[in-house]
Amino acid sequence: MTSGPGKILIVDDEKDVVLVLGEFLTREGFDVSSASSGEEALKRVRETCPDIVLLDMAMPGMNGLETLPALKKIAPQMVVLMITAYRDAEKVVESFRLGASDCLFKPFDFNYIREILKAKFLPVLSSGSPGAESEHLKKYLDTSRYLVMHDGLTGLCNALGLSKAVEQELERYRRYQASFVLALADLDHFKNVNDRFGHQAGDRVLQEVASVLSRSVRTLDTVARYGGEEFAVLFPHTDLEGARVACERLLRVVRETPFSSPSGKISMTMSLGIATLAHGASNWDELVGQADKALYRAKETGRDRLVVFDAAWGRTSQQGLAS
Amino acid sequence: MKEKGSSKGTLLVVDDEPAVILILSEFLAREGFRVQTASSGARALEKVKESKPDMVLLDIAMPEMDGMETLRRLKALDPKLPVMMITAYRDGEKIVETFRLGAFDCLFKPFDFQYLRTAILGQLLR
Repeated sequence: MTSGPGKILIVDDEKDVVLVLGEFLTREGFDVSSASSGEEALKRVRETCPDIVLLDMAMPGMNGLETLPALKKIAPQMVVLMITAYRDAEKVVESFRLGASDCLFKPFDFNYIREILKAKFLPVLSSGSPGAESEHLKKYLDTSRYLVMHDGLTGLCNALGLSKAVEQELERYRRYQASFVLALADLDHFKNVNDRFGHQAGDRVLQEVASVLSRSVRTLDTVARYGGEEFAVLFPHTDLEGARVACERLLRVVRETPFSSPSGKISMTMSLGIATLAHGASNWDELVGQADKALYRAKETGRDRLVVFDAAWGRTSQQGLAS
Repeated sequence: MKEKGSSKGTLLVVDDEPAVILILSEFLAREGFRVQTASSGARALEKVKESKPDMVLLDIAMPEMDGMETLRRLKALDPKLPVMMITAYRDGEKIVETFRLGAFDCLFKPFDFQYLRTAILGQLLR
């Protein structure tokens, strides 16, 4: 049995290189995508989690040696091969020190590239020495674990991944009293997008929202796709005020971002419900239940806003929610 | 038998230039490593078979058996043996080749001793 085609991301500001390499690798059966800058590469890797990245060293803006450690931070298991036209020994060594697996010189030796990609970096499960096998099995398990915990459309954590992250934070809270905040977000009137433009267009908007949210939080915050058009953000080491400021920013960013649709740019808003440990939630279910109640309030009271969960609702919920 | 003591590990320095061997040995000994030396690739292979060092520092440009060939044979003997290349030449392609053959790092002359210390400790603590 062989594994599916490997996903390869080519990162180069020169269109010709992307074209030539892309054509070669597609013909070899790989699933190829490209990015024209380091910044774009980081975004792509977050979204699509490729197996292998071919990364040009010399690019305007964020160059290859700056992009490499950032990529490795997002996906430590990912194989990164540098591309360069210059035989600069110091940069070559630097790239290996930063975690590159190889360095390919231009003009390309396509036979070598084919050989290393197929024989070294994408070995099939049944082949190779016991060492190679366990290495591959590990990668396979890593990938399976990744797929179980992440959402296929956006590349964000899914509800399960989020619940695991929250359980970890709860543990940290029990041990070190490290406070954290959970926010649930729901796009307002998202059904209209699907109804009007179709599900593909709706999916595109969800991807764009995912990317906007990811870009607008700190690296240690976790953005998740919780369900259909529902997102969530976990803010570790954050108190209520800190999270409130961050969430106001998220509301503003979504409100001000033009999203794609078949008939041009459209605007979206979202509603947010926030829960902390202040009201006695001691597990994931209770905490997410509180955030969900707060989100419901935000929808009820006009949308495009955030509401913080308040335990007092429980006592007056009958009148409160009926009105 | 290896002597036990306060040694952080045994390093084999391979270079045909006595001055390089001297400088590196002194530095590494002062840092608390046991140091062995070899002046050629052939001698390096013998030493590795005899005394199983924890790491090898290997010059790329040597007469007769050069660093590339020595590296290839060292890795055939023991694929897990960490090897750091040493070179004065900024030959990018040759250096990439050493990484492909399994070297874990490459140190340029003149030496950055501070980096060398960090890299060796980092590798030995893996």
